[in-house]
Amino acid sequence: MIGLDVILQAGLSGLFMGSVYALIAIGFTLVFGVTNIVNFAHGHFVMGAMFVTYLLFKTLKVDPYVGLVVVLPLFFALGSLIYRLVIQRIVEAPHSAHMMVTLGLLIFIENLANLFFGGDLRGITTTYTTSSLVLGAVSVPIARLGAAAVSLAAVVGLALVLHRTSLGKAIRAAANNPEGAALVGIDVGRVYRVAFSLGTAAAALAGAVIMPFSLVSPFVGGEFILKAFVIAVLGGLGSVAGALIGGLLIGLVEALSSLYIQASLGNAIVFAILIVVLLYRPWGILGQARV
Amino acid sequence: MVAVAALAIAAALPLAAGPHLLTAMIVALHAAFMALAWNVAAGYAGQFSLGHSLFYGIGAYASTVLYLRLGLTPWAGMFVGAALAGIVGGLLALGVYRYKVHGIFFALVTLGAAEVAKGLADNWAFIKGPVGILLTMQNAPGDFFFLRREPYYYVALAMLVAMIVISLRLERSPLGQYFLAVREDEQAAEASGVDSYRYKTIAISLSAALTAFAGSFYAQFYLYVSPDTVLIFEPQLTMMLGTMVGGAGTAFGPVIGSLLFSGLGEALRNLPFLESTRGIVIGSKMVYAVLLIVVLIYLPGGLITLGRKGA
Repeated sequence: MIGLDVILQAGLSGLFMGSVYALIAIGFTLVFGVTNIVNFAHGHFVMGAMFVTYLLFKTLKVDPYVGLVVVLPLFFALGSLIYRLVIQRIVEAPHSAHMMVTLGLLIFIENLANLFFGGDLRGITTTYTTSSLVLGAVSVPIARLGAAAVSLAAVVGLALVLHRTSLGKAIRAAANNPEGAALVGIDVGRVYRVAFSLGTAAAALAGAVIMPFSLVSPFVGGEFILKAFVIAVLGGLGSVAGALIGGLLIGLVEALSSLYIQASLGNAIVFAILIVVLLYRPWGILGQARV
Repeated sequence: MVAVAALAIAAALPLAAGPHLLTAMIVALHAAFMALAWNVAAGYAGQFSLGHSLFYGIGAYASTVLYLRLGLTPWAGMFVGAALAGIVGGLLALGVYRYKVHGIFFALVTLGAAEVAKGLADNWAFIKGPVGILLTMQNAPGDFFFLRREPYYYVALAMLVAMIVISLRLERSPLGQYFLAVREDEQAAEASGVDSYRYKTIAISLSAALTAFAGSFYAQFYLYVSPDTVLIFEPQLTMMLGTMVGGAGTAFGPVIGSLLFSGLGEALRNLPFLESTRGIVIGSKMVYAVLLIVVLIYLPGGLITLGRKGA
């Protein structure tokens, strides 16, 4: 019998990880909602940011949170560059081309990382990697709490940008009706690029803040993109609020199911949920919410 | 004439190739077969499945388990595997199309199905879970085991030739025309009396069965089947790379694409600055990735459209 404290503990770490998943999925779903592109390489941006954070820590002793001043602009610019070089040229192409081209990006990024770092798992040990706050029966790992707090703050920040700024208005307009947006003078191409860059930066932020308690290898990206698919679909592709709820839900399911069953079976359950949602509610569990 | 000449050259190649090159050629022929099998659904019928590793896995496991448990020769077992994959693919398609899942959602559902299958296989003791199943190397041509590489080469070649013939016949058959009609405009096809539900299901089922043959070949050639070798995304990727770069929806595009990718790997092996095996593998994958992106941007119909423009 598994005690209540263990379940509470697992639930808490599920919510923490779920917040990070939500941030990753929101980046993914934002890009899809605006540009209609399913970016298979999105999880590899998380991996890339983990490696940059790792490198900053190992060479210059830069804390992962301090390193964000480098990582965020770097990946925003990288997203912008990839958009100009590649994505822009296939925006009008069918979905199959989107998937293949972003798979090409995925393969490229993965092997680039493999070339520089090799295939071993690497991690960093910060002063707070193993620290916890003890609250009654549960202990709250500081590093995970920090990652969750930053992720949730970023989600709120993104939502504010989308709903309170003129940039956000332009993004939502271009997402709902590109032709109409262009007619009223919105530079749709630029909006697409900004959305793609924001999505990339969101993935990078998630990668940086999980580094204090995670291991990175060139092959961890696949895990993140599969999670992002499931969460984004669960919340309704293109819905930011849906992705937040989906992320927390998947984090919880993952953590709680790991108490009772094998991880590989838990993974199968997560994908079975994906299939059921796609069949019965392809617009997501929240209804027809849009960006 | 061209076909006969190409076949004669292909048949004579093992005489000139060393063991290493021969292995590379077997892998290339196998990749081309897989690509054409996926092409039946994704290319001709426009059903972009990302879950074909599931059918590949069914083929690999079916012939292997039937041989080890019942002593059934894999020559027959591969047909059982194909039938099984055809049924699974058909049922999956029936369910998925019933709910009008299409486009990107179809791709994600099929990807999910393959992931579920991998999770189940990892936890299924009957097929030894994540440990996988080993076959013993032996000289038993009647059971699809050879000690030398040449017989595997000829089997792979025969399978590919059969697959090309099937693709060409499909192109000229009413079934193939229905596939194209559904791919080009499903509503228009429906309006002119084509039962798209039915033909999409047939496309997936047929494509799944053909893919399973490749899985059985894999098991016999590598003598090892596990969830981490046949139920991962890798086989799916092999099918897509060759097909999309060569030209989806054609009988020769996927072959050109697959042979090109395999050939590139071999060519890179001889470059001076890539000395380690690791460097070769990584380097060739990066070249594949760039090639894939460039071709899809500038030649969306694949390399095969180059020839058409010239002709």
